[in-house]
Amino acid sequence: MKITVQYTGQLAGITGVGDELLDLEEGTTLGALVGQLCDRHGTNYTELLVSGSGELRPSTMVIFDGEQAVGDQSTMDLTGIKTVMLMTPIAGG
Amino acid sequence: MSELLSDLDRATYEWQLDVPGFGEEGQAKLRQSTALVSRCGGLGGPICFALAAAGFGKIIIAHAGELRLDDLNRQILMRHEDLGKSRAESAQSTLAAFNPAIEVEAVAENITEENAADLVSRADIVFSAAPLFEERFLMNRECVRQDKFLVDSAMYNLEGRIIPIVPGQSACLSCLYPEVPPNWKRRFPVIGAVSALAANIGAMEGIKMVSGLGTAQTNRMIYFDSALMRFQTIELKRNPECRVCGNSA
Repeated sequence: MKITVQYTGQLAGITGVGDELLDLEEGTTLGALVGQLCDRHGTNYTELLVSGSGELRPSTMVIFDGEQAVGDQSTMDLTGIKTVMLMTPIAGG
Repeated sequence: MSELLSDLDRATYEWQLDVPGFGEEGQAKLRQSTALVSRCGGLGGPICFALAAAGFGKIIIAHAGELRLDDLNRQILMRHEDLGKSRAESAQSTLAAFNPAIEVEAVAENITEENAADLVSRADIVFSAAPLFEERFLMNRECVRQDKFLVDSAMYNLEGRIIPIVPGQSACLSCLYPEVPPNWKRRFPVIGAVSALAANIGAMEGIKMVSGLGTAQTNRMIYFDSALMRFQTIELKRNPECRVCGNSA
């Protein structure tokens, strides 16, 4: 299944792209996707996105097709989702 | 409510009184309202300008420190001749010259645990534009406690996001960000036009919330990326476990 991952804020700065299209296995969970992304984009990306235990940081917002996704990332199935947006917090003024 | 507008008000705001759904009633609501804006830099400054132009009766500006040269790529309420002077007072001076019919109060302090409750209590709506989450969380907490409208606007690089908050009805800032993000840095990349864009969207949301015009985007985040001129509204959810507005708060 093809999913667009959209990056914002500091994540976009690290990856150098606003979004990327990924081809994932059916049934991939959000947790698995985050693991793949961390492997792909390196240490700075990982430190920004997840805590030491590998869980998404509480202040990282995940958006599925324009709606905030809330729940257990390890079981959150991405089947049927077209766009996953990852938002790290910003407070620039 | 129309009798609350003076002839000067009618003359000054004549063009916006023509906006369908706004009119003298909407103008009078703005006239009666006080806005607290923290701070008055690249984001808060244009918010203040928009609120002053729209005719809010009073604007309270909270911002500590003195103007520096590297503020001037974005802090449009300031003047080069004010380098080294109080930012809040410089902003007050600009706004007073722009619209002498409104009241502008300068508080040369940032939002702190000591002043947050009092400053929020004196406002009908709060516009949060501080570069530190600690200040934003204080304003959010007090707005929830005191049942005040809050518009939290932020930007980074070429992106911006605006969250209009009606306590008890919509997700609050702490629903979305339960802790101070450990990786946020005080210094951020910014072009003034981007912060002004976020500011004007935030100001418009606040004008709608106070006046009743249109539909405020509560329970939504307005997000834009000006690199691509991509705008999105994102549906938000309240967190029942939120330490500020949740069931156990």
